[in-house]
Amino acid sequence: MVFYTLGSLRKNLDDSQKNEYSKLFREYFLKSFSSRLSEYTNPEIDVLSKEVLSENYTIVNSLLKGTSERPEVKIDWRVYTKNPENPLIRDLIIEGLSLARTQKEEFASILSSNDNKIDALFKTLEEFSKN
Amino acid sequence: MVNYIIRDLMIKKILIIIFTTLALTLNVNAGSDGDLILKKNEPSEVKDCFEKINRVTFALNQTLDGVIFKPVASIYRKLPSPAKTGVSNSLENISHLLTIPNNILQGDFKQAGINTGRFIINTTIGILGIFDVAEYLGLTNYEKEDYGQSLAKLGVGPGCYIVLPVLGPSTARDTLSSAFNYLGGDPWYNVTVNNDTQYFKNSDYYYSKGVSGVDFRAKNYDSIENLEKNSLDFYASVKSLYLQDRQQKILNSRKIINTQNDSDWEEITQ
Repeated sequence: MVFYTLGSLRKNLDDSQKNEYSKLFREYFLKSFSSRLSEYTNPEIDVLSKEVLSENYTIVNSLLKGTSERPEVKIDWRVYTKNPENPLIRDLIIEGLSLARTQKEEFASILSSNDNKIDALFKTLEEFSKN
Repeated sequence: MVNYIIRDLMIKKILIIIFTTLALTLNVNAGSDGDLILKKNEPSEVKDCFEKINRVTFALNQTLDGVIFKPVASIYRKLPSPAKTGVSNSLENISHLLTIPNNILQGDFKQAGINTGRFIINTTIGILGIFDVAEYLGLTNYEKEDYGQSLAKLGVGPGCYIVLPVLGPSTARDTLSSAFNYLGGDPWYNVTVNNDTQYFKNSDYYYSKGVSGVDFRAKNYDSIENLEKNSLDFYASVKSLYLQDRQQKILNSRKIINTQNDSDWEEITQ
């Protein structure tokens, strides 16, 4: 998922940029995702069912339980199963909205308003993680 | 009295069953062009032709939201749940008037029948829609429809992404089609503003629109705050989420996930 969010730009990155991006994305993602979840004190997730789409993909349906103040949230995990030994979560679909896609389009917008310079995205990610 | 209600209900249920069976047999398989509609409404396919103006309007809307909608919504969400549900229900009940003709336009006669049943039951027994009695009677899964969705089903593409002042995100197609609401397309507008009926005032229409704005804002209060806080580019996130949501509403299905374009994943191994 890390490199998917970069779109076609990822093909032009050298190894050190890739490593840098990996690191920054991880920090950014952990921070923003945990902040989203933290509204749910003691988040409880029920795994409901799974749906095998193809040889490569399985969707796992789950439900983030609601609290008295927050509604329940339907979360589908899109798991890439080409290598059954090492399944990869490629996307979280929250109430039908794809996290990977939203993230990719957000990054694309930042990149396009900065002449597609990857350093600009690095800087934005860094600033977010610091604050 | 109770007997009358039960008898009334029975008759309505039978009518609904007759209507839906008829509709089912008449309904030819609509939506075989699903893949084409899917492609046309693919969020990344929708061009942001007026991005600069859109961003300005977006900023203006955010200011308006901070001054009007957010403060009102924050008071509104503190109301007791039954009151909020009542308001929500009656707004939803009014929206059936626009949904039903669009169910028909989309060839979904079965849903048109169900929604007509819902509207009649909730307006009468549910006291002007405050209580969703139809839900208890098994008429569930209500989805709003509008002329933009009907046009999309007919194969009309979304055109450019537009941020409207006050009303927020939209597309060229959806903006034009909502103009039709004011030209006789929306029965609720017709009975309140367009025609002088003795039952409704013009203000009833504007009042209902205002309250539904507040209701939407209150329901999504935390999600919106959270998205804003965790977004690197709030404008882009809202655009992406809006277009994905719109695509889902047009298709009324989960097909998006199942057929999500995979070409972008090639050669990615992590």
